[in-house]
Amino acid sequence: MSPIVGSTVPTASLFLAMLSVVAEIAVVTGVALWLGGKVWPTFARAGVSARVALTPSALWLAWIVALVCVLGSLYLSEVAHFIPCTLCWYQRIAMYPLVVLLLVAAIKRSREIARATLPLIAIGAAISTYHYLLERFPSMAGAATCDPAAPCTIVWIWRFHYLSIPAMALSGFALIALLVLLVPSKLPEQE
Amino acid sequence: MPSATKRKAPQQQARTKQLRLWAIIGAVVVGIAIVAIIASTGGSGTPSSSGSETRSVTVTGDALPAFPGPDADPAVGMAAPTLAGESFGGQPVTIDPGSTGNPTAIWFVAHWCPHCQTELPRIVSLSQQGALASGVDVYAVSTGVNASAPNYPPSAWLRSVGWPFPVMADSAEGATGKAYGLAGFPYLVLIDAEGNVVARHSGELGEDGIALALGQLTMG
Repeated sequence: MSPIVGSTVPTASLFLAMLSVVAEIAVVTGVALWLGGKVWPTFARAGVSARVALTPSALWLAWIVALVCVLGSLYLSEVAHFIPCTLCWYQRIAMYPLVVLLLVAAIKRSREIARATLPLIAIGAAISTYHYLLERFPSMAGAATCDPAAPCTIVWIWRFHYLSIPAMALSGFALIALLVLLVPSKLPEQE
Repeated sequence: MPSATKRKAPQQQARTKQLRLWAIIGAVVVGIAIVAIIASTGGSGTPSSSGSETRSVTVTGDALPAFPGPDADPAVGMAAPTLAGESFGGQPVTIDPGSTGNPTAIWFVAHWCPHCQTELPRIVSLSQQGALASGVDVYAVSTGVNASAPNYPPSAWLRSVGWPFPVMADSAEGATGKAYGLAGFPYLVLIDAEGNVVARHSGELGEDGIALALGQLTMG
């Protein structure tokens, strides 16, 4: 790694980590408004306002989140030279098609195409969760050994005392899911 | 005409709201980028090279076959190759099993491997308690060095855990690991006083496992 590229890695990883925190805040807020709305009218009203404001752009936002996740993962492997492990590849398999599918969904304004991404998102999120747990508790792997080439237990990035790469991926999957679920059955007419 | 104007007004309002939403999102992202740049300026940055933590190594003798697992290890009974290299500080280190009349235990460790990070302090603790079999030449070989990976540099890591035995820095190509058939970290090779392999073990060991492994070298 050249010194110039090497010096960008801490900045890029901090940038991605901060975006993940924003994604997590958005997801927690969204879920809180949804659940709270079932009990408190104020939450319900706030939830409706947020949905009305976000709906027209939700698919484009979801596409941008997926694109940032893909570009971030490519930066980490191709520029920072963090070698992706098997579980990283499985998460990529789930994330990369979302860029194409959500772009088509956003252009065609299709709720059906957008909803079709949910199984991919769920699989990706499940793998991210398992990968994160494996990082935190390496003995879960059973063999208690590190693969010399690309072990899944290696923690390349550790930010804010809880964020690693799979945790960032999980934040991305969760925000994309939230945005896709925001899309109503009938999208407003485009001008 | 007035009805068309009325219809356009809400559309215009909606468009303005959307533009405002995108402006807010853009401002948040730019703000985060600025904070990330400011926060990471002036830091030590990522080490640009792992060169200072690797050394050239000369291997003499036949390489051991890759470790297939503890059952029916084909390397058992084979003569272990001799490794001639250096410590992190540049002092010569030679691992020549059988040359001192003592059995030898070699731990191949990687700084980024969480299992190595757990196991090494156990070995140090056993050594401090005097619970490690005496009369065994113990070595650590620092291999798999990657300046981008966590817990770099390995020299600082081994110093911080108080590793009391000689350390050899592997070459950037991992010559020692290849010579000993390394299959995973941590990797322990046990060699008898004649220089023949007694056992190989890949994976983290508990304190009992470590004591038992070294104990088998001095039994009988």
